[in-house]
Amino acid sequence: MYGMEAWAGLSTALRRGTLEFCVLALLESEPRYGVELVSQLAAQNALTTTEGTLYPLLSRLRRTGWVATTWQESPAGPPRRYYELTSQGKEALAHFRSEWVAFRAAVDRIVGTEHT
Amino acid sequence: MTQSINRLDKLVEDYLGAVSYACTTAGVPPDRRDDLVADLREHIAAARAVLYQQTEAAVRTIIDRLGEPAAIAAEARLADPFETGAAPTPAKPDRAKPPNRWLSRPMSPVTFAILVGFTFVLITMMVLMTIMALREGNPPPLR
Repeated sequence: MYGMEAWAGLSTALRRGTLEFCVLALLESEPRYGVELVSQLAAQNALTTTEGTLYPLLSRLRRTGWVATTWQESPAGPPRRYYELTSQGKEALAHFRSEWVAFRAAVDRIVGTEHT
Repeated sequence: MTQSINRLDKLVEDYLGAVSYACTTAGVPPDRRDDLVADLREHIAAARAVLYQQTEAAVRTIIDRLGEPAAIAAEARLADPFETGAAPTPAKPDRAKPPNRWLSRPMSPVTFAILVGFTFVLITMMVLMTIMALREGNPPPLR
């Protein structure tokens, strides 16, 4: 039988490779600063992620060139680093969307979750 | 008041120290580790800036929401999945073509000699057997 560790491993595995694109999607409409971005993502319980683990992910997206950052003055406190989508990031998101639809449909068909 | 602010700052620094240590033990490269700690420091500063009151409970909540240092370090240790040539695995021999033992390796001289010798013996035996068969099949010519 699978223990709880295997269950935790499943959500980690599902998150891997999809969470990046959730970040890109959140940035699609407007640039957001770190605190805002990570709290929105971490608020989604199904993603089972903590705010802190999103910073290494944001850093990867920046190195990949899918997001860029700019400093902006804040109404309260220190300047904030805003994350925004680059044109490469937009392309990556569009590509993910088409891949995801096909991927999800195939898994649904096989696993039997088409109508749930 | 100043004292309590210092105490809150220490709380934050202890947490960041724990993240830094977790990164080091997890094998995160130092520059990446320092960037991450700077990001988290920024996050905490920005989150504290909008607090109604600087209380220990409020600062602890900010830290708790960031999560376990070990979990953050584990995430930081991951290689960039979308980098071109991201696979840091050592280059393996080209597996594009299935290996063809007969053609890909040059034959050693010894193997070659054995093959030639064997073929020669085989042909000689066949010729001899044919001659013998012909002699047996045909009666000796009349004298």
